[in-house]
Amino acid sequence: MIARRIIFILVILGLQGAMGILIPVFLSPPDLFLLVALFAAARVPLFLALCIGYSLGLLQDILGAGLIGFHAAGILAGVFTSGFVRRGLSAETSFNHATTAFVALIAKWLVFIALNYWTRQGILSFETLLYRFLPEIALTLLVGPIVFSFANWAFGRGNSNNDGLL
Amino acid sequence: MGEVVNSRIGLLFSALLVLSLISTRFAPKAPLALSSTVTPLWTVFSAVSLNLRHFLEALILERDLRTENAALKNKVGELELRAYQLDLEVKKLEELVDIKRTQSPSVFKAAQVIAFNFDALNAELRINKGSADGVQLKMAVTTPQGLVGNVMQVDQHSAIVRTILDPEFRVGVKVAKFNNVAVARGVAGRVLRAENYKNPKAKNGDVVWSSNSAGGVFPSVRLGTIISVSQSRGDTLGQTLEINPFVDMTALEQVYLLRLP
Repeated sequence: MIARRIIFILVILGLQGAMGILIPVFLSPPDLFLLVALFAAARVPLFLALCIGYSLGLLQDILGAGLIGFHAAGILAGVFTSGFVRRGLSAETSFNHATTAFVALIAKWLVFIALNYWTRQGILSFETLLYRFLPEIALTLLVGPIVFSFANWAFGRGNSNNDGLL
Repeated sequence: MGEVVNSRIGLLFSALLVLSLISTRFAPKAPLALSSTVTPLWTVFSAVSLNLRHFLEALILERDLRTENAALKNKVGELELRAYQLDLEVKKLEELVDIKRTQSPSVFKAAQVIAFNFDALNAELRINKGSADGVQLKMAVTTPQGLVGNVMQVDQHSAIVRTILDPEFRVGVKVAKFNNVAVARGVAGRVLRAENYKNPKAKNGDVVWSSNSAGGVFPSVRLGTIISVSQSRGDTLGQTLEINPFVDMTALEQVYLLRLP
């Protein structure tokens, strides 16, 4: 099982870097780190999931040599909102997973917009939202089931989320 | 208990968010040295991804090339057909010039041979030009190789040409190097025969031309070569010449009409 987890981490790290090559430049690659964080949020208590998500975001910032805490805050917001969405859903279905991921992506980008205003660096523009945000949502939702299946293979199938509502 | 958990979660979320607000605004960007730690991993995945991408691009390119190749083949086919048509046109014009120079300046029109009628009695051709094109009865029909015949019947868009091999065809002939003339007619769709030719010097291989002086409306056009010379029988005088036409009537595709004098 340890070997599987190492493989999972290496593949996710490698794929996130390779997506820029595989996907045409005008499209935004899917956010695999957010999907991993959401997977963690479904398996561990939300408190711990927030820490994991923030750590993954920090890792993404460091690997991308960007603003420290930018992606971290985005993934943090995604995991945080997913916790509330999951409480309102009645079962672990693909549709519910997609809904959770969709809401998490929206939350992430809202935080990005807020941070963009806060940092005054003009990182985000209308074009960014149009050409990066929508493709990222679409592709993330598309690869979500694959990543979740891969994660299940690596970490084993879980029973429920942290509060046992699902 | 649940409220305590929720408040702890909210507190953590807020704390981490504030941390991000501070770090994004005030912390320096992450040094490249940190991201370099995963560079080997990314290199491997990048190489695999690049190869995969090149493979997909090659597949797409191959498909495009196949389509382009088919389109180019069509284009080549069209151009070859066009070149063939232009070749035919050039050949026709060259032949016209040749006929004008060697046979008659009154060459009038080119026509395609569209049917043959070679049987026991007839040696005729049908051409695709008729009275609507200005074709008239008795017009001489020729090719650069030699005389073909004359127009026997005309309708609006086609005409019948009686060839020099037709038994009813008559033409004045003379051997190129002599002034003597005789009248020749077609024999069995095979040769021309001229009787009462009064020059004993004519021999096999001599070239024979048509001649107005013996009747008809033909300009001086090459007809063929003598293949047989024999003494005429009975009370006639002179020789009988058998002439092999230069023109292979059964292989004609295009002929030229000469204006009536």
